[in-house]
Amino acid sequence: MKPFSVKKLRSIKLWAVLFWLLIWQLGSVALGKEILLVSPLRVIVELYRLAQTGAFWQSILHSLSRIAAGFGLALAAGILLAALAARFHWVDELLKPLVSTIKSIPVASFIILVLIWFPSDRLSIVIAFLMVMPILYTSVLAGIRATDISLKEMAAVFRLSPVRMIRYIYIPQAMPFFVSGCTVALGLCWKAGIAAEVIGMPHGSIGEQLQQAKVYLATPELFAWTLVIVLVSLAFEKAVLFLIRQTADLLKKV
Amino acid sequence: MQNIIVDHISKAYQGKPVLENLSLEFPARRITCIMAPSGYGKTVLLRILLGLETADSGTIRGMDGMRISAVFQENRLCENLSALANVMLVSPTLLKADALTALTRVGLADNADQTVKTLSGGMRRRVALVRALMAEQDVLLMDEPFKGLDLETKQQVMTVTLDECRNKTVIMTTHDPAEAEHMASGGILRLG
Repeated sequence: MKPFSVKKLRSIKLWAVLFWLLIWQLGSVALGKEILLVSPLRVIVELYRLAQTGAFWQSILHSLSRIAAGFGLALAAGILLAALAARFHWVDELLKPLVSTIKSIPVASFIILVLIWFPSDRLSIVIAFLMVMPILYTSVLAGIRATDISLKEMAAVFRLSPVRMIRYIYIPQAMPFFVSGCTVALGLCWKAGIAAEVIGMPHGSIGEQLQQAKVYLATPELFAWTLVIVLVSLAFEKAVLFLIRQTADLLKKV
Repeated sequence: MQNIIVDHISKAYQGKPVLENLSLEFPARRITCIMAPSGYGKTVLLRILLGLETADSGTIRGMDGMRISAVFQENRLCENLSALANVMLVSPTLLKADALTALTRVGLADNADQTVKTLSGGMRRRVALVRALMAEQDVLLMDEPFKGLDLETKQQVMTVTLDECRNKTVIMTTHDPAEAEHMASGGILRLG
């Protein structure tokens, strides 16, 4: 199963991208005000300039490490809680209101609350965690519940150990649900994580750079950082999905 | 090892009886074939013997502590695993060489490393059969094990099955009288 976003990316045609870049270029030339709409070429030049500085890479590392940590923690918690909920119905009952509440609370409310509770340095970890955990919990639980009953019966008859049962029956069945959940969660945790940084402005983060670019009306820088977020988010998504596929292949070996 | 005794078993689904007061005896270390018209409850009987269903009344004797292996009516294979991995999955102590030999004997030498989902129906059936034959077992229950195999392959697979089931208690269902005659060393039970 190919991840949804990779398929989506591959279905995007180069000519269509070039068309919209051309419209963007023409729009910025017609407007003639860089402060309102900077041209794509100017964004590339600005990105090149930023990439020459150490602060640029430090900001990327700062945000990447925290959002990745939040994602990793949510991944572990989501899988563990989903496994417990599948095994013990009361865990599902207990978590259902909590998960529904987290899902329906606007991310901005969470950001402000988390800023009260935690130092801004850890803000994106907590926000990424809160955005990802409910998605992964729900998708993994749905995957476990969709496990083929006939395979479960086969495993019972042949007295498969719990470890083999999880590895060869549950994981392959839950994997498509998990990958689908991860694809959604990966995009969301980056958007929410950066939004949190823009509001909380942790020192040395991409969010802080975005906020400063806005304050100083440095539109080319704002566009360049936005492009960085998109590229890093895509790279992160591809890396995580690659690791998941490798792990899944490894688990197929008996 | 003792005979398996089915004593006055009854089973109904939503008030509709499937098995009614059924009593049978399966001799130990023999192959017993059950022949019955479709819908008579052969599969339900096997599911009760496998411990996957509970009878509404009656008792089963001679199955306590027995290691059971089975060929289900459907293949019930792990689709993403290879044929070899499916065989080894249920037998942690089985040597890879032995599993490969067994697959070779049923004509799957070139398909051992192939993912099950890429195999034909007949090939899958043979993988399910080899898995059951290679598993550690005292009792083997087979629900129409040679279903979907062509005549030549069926002959080859039946020979391997007879060889592997020597001195084992085997209960199998079939619709094919010739198949039952060929396999049954413990008798043919015709129901219905």
